[in-house]
Amino acid sequence: MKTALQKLVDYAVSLGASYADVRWVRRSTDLLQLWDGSIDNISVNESEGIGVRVLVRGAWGFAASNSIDGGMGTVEKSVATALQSARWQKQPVELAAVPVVQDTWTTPVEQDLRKISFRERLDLLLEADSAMREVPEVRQRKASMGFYLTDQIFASSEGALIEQHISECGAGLTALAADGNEVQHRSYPASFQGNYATGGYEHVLSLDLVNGGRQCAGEAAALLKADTCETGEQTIILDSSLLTLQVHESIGHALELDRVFGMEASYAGTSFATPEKLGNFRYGSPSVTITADNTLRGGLASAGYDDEGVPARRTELIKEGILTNYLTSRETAAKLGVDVTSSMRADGWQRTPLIRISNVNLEPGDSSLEEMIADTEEGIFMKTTKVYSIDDKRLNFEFGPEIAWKIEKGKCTRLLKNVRYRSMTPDFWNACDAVAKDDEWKLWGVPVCGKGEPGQIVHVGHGTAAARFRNIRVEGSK
Amino acid sequence: MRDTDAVMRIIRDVVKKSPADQLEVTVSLKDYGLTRFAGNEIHQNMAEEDSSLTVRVYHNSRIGSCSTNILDKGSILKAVDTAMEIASLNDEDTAFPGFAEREKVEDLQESPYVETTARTGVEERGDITDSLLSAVEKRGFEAAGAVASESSFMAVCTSRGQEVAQKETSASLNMVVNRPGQAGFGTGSVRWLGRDIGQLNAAGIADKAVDISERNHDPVSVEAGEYEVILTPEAVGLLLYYLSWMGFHSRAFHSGQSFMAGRIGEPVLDPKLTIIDDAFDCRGFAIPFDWEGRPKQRVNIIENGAARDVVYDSVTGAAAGRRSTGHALSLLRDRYYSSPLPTNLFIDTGDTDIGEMIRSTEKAIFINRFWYVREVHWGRAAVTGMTRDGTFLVEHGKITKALHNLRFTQSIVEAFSNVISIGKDAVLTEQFNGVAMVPALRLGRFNIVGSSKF
Repeated sequence: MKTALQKLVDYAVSLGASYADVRWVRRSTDLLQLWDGSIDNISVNESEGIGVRVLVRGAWGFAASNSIDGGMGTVEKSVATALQSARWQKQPVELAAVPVVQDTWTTPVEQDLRKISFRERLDLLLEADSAMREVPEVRQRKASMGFYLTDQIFASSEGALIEQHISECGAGLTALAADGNEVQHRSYPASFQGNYATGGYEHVLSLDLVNGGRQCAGEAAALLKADTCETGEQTIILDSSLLTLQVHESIGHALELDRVFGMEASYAGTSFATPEKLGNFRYGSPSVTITADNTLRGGLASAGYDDEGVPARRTELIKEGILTNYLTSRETAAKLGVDVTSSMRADGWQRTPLIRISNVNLEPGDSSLEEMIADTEEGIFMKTTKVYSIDDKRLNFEFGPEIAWKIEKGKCTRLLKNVRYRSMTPDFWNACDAVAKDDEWKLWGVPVCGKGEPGQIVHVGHGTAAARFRNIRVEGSK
Repeated sequence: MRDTDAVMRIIRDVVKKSPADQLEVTVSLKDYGLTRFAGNEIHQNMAEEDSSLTVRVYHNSRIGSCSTNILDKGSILKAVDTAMEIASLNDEDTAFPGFAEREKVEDLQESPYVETTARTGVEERGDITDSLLSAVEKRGFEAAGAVASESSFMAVCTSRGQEVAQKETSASLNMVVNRPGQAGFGTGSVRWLGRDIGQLNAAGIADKAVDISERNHDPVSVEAGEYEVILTPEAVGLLLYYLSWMGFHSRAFHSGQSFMAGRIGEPVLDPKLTIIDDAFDCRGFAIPFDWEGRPKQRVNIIENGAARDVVYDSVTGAAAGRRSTGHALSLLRDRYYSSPLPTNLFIDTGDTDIGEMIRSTEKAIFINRFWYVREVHWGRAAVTGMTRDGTFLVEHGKITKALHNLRFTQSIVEAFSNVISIGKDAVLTEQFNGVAMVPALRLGRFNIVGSSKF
């Protein structure tokens, strides 16, 4: 396969490409999903093909096909698209230099996903489902587990030749309770299909789904009787899983340099974090340090290389509250004169790589959840994402938890439902006065981040620990 | 696109020789292309050829499935073997109603396949982009957007004798326009969707987007509160989609989450509103069968404001003692969405054009487009979201000022319970799963909760 891909790269160059890369990808997706203890979907999906990306006359072209034998035709299509792109190209694309690598990288695993039978997976989900069923108020139950095994080879006209074997998995539960007047749900261990990671089946086992199912079903039922909260400015404490969303939407996407340059303006939008802010903008309080790191073991975006062949690395995006870098591609890094951050990823062979959130993390602080609550006279502790909406500049947002507790005089006193909070991104992060320390820091994996046209779904990671924010607008509703 | 007859021959052979008690094969082939631009430059241009095939078996009362994108006979037979293996490991599902039996599906009045669109390649998309960007640049603005074209084929065959197939085309354009160097500020957007790319008036769409952007300057804020609003069809389409996702399907209805749960026959929305899912109306993306190969039925969801029915697939239909209405989604759908869902929604048009809505309004907010709408409360179908690409204040029958992008938090049920007037022209809008053909709406109350600074 490697030789075949190199021949395709050479063919692209012979047709006039100043740069070409070819990615062969074969991905196997195993999905199990139960609704109310019955199997809704138990399936295996195999997808294989090649994507060819070329620069001709300084303009991009891309073509993809599941017909690997027809690779030459795909190269020709790619060159033809680049020639059309050149009709409306004002500045030729330039690529930042990166090391030319020939390497093989494999996700470290303890329990190989290929060796875990459907029966074993199914039994675990059924057991977790049974635990949710024990709670009489629960009217609907959902349990799912996914395995992703990806083999890919990247070859470029610069001489890069990189083979990667990536293993990812995860699982999640949802319990929906209803009493005729009210409907509430809880997810475990997190919303957005649970918690995913690179690695083997040891990750799924570590989720403790059975106890989690019992807990989330009980909480869904308890929420039916919970109080609503008052609207107004309050101190809020977000748990680690809810902070993944906060980091994702108001920092991760905002710092994608293609968005900043307006390249996503028609769909995902742009960003308030414009280039003149680099190095001087106070994005958050000194408690806020944000990194992008696709070297982290278990991170859902972790790999040896991105889809431009750039080695995985750690980058400080925000240092003690100051904006210090963006997530970049070779093209955008060259344009702004900043580092290439190994952030280009494609949703399979069919799509051209885009700048994507990798593992974007809120670095640990020096507090703890217990200390933060004890140190709060009045406030709300919120857990697990339920509501999430943000504007097209990643500035004005409204988020909400599945479950919350009123904090009074340093203690969680009452359960609250239907809570939301609203703010503007820099106002919010500047209101952060405490982050829990590294023993409470947790790496979460979200397998559903969307961007681009045509739409691309990639898997992202976020490491976070609970954090506290002062004077945030909280909305309560019935 | 590859030879669909050859693919069908392979599938028929696989179905005929099936080792399973019952077998279902769905196949989808596509040729897709997209030209994307920003800042009046093309920055992404692509062509994609792909296929997918899903096999489901029902054997010894157990279900298994497998899918692949390699359509040679060996790969398909391997998929059947894997599906059989999965079924053997599965628990018995005696409630499963079986795969579709042989049943005629209704013919469409118009072909969903338009040769002009099927022949559209990168050069033709380049020409359309040229028209768009030339028109925008001529007026001193810049644009971001995408022109896409697709020809596709889908088929479902079952061992119980059902065989249905459709070849179709689609094309789309979206563009957001702004003043040079001000991406994301003072924007105006227009979107277009259709089967026939020949119907796309690129220069006209570009002019319309520039007109909105031209008017969108020096925006001001409004206080949070309830406002009368005038929504373009694009804005209405997204609200209708969320109302549908939160209320119009069997899973939401029977779990009690839907605002329609237990209220069939009762008034639930404004009596001026009639909402139907009609997969045979060729103004939409008509298709006479679903991903289980079952015939589509027209479903009257809301009739003159009263709740009438929701949509079912075979599994949820069997659980409710109902026949499927033909609304199963593909097994390969985005996992966020459950099956079934309406995919061809229509709101009956009214008698007021959007200009008349503005002229007859004392004070209202005109909203061109919504953005990042998400669920807040299922039972009330409440959502939060933002406006973008053209939000204006209407005073004394005229648009007087541009507004900052606004945040709203609103029950769609409540918003759709206070309809002042309905547009007389419907526009086809693209949604997450399917399409919605909808008119503009003038609504009496809409809850604005905040404003952005741009």
